[in-house]
Amino acid sequence: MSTSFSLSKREAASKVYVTQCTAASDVNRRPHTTITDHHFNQTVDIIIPTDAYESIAGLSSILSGRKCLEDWRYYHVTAPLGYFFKPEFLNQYIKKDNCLVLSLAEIDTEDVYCIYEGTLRLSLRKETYERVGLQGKASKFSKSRFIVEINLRSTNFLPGLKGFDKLIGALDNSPLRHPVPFLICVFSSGECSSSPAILPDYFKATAYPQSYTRTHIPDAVIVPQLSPIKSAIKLAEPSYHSICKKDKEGYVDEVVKEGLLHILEWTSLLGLESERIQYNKTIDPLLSTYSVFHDENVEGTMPFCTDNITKISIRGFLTTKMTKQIFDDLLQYLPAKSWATMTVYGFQDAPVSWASEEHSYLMGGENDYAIVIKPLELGDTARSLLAFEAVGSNDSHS
Amino acid sequence: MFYDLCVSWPKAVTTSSAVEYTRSTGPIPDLFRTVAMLQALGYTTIAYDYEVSGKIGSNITSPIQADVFSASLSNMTFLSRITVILEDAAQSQVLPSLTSKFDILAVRPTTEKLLLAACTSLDIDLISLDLSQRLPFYLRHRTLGAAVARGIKFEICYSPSTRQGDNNVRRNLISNAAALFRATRGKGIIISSAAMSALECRGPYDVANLATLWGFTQEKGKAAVATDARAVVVHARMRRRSYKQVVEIMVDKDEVQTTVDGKKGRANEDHQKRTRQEADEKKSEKFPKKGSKRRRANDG
Repeated sequence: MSTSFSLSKREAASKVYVTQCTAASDVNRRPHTTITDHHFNQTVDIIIPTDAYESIAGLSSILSGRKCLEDWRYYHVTAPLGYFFKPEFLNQYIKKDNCLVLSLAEIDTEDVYCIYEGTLRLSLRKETYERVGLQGKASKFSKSRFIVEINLRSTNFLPGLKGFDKLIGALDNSPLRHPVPFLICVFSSGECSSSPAILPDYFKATAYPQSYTRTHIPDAVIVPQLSPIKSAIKLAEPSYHSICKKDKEGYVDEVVKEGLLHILEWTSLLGLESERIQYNKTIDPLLSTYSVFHDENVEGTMPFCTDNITKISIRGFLTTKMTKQIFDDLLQYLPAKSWATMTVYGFQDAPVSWASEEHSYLMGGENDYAIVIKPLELGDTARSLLAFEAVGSNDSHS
Repeated sequence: MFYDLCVSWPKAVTTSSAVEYTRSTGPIPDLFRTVAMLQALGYTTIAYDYEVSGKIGSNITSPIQADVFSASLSNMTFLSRITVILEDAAQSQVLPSLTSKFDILAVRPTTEKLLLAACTSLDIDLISLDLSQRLPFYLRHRTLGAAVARGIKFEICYSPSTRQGDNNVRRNLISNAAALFRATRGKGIIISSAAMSALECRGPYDVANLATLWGFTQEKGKAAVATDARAVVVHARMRRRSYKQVVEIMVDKDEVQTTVDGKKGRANEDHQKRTRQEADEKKSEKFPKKGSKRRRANDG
């Protein structure tokens, strides 16, 4: 069973989309699309109990950091966009969908170029769009911004044909010819399709490894119950509260939503290594009244447990293949009784957030997601998951 | 890209003062600190404001040396601006001569008649009212709308509310700014600091949030410091350099292009007009001529 709903205060506010489901859900739906459609990833934070980490370390080369050290890297280069359309790069990487390219510029005031899944997407200001001369459509978030999208893998995009020649002409003669900084991640084809490849020489790019850091938090951290939906139903039973039947649905919804938001808040505090969730830390209520959410009314369950945690942070320019591998490894090797959280942060200036949904920056450009993996309950075949997707106000993802 | 189109140029500095900002006190070091603070907060273009009132001679020279900090604060664009405090109609005859000496021309009308003249007939870029005092006239949509339709924008300066001092000033600013927003229906307003010290400056997103107190939405608040302010700068540039705002010669290295109505004859005329103007300027100005490269927006 998978439910998803959104929480937002008004039109222009940031939104959070929450999905409760199991790991066995369809690959074309959340939470799997949450990972595979989110093209541009900057940081992945994985937080697991230390004993769970110790059992994983030997099994997964990704989660222990060996892969980042040996294999996973990205490139930074200042080059004109035309470099990506020379035959060496075009045929090797773009046509075979083995690259991810993002130019570093502010999405609300400058031109941003990116290539993902064989699609070229240019987010251009009005004056650039008028000079470039390619067909595009207006942006949803600004009257003076235009989006040009070209499928580079279609059969119409070949040297000698109209579409290709027009693009190359624009790349050589219009404002697109100026060099801009790019982040590039290329990988070779084949089974291990996230293993890196080498950029052609003319790029003169600097290679950086995807950085991996691991911290063990010394103090035990409070872990709340991660199953609000059961407790909500129990709370709504007539024996606990006297609520008339027709209000029961709304009440359950509200309690569930509140519980899920508390879990999101707790996940974020974990990522910040905050003292507020540590077991033996107290603070003057004048400064903070935060306490980890737990249900006192539910019988038979511990209000909370405590764990020492390990935080793994992989940072750089990560593709969906990499984030998917991280998630798959986590699901596969995580011991049954353990929980885990994985938070992925996107680029605030990326032109797309998920799939080909337009993304822009107003007061903030967040397009991040967090997946909480719950402990395996007795009798469950697949692990249950909570997926939270946070989008800023100027983002058309839903 | 964020714009702050009103940074007070200190009155104590005249054309003949030495430009030295290595000393720790004085108007120029204070100005440097203000501008450095604005750069740290994220602004990319700043206009120095020179305020004049009373009788203005027609051979006034610009005391603003816009390039004074360019060496130490790169990646910033500096413009010069004059704010004429309009007290009687005779002053409006001097305005055309000021166009060539300053990048942006702003007026501050003090009576309703002058406000009407500024909104409907004067050739200016910006109307800046002193919103920290009780205005001697009402702001009506009929007059202000005429200005907005002509492309002239209104300015709200936020530093009276961040300056140490009067609560009355803050109260007046909030009510006047809200009234201005209502009267213009939210269009055609820019926000700038009229900063006299570094402590009065606020970051662009903070200014946009402050604007929500005056009735702005978040989008409009951000536009007031970014896109609308850019529109003022472009409007001022077009007013100075193009012929009837239609044709402008842009010298792009080896190429000579013409925009929109590209008739060659008119283009030549404009070119001659500009070179004549520049020759006049060369005679009157003493300090290095501001290059046209810097003020041009990034073009292809």
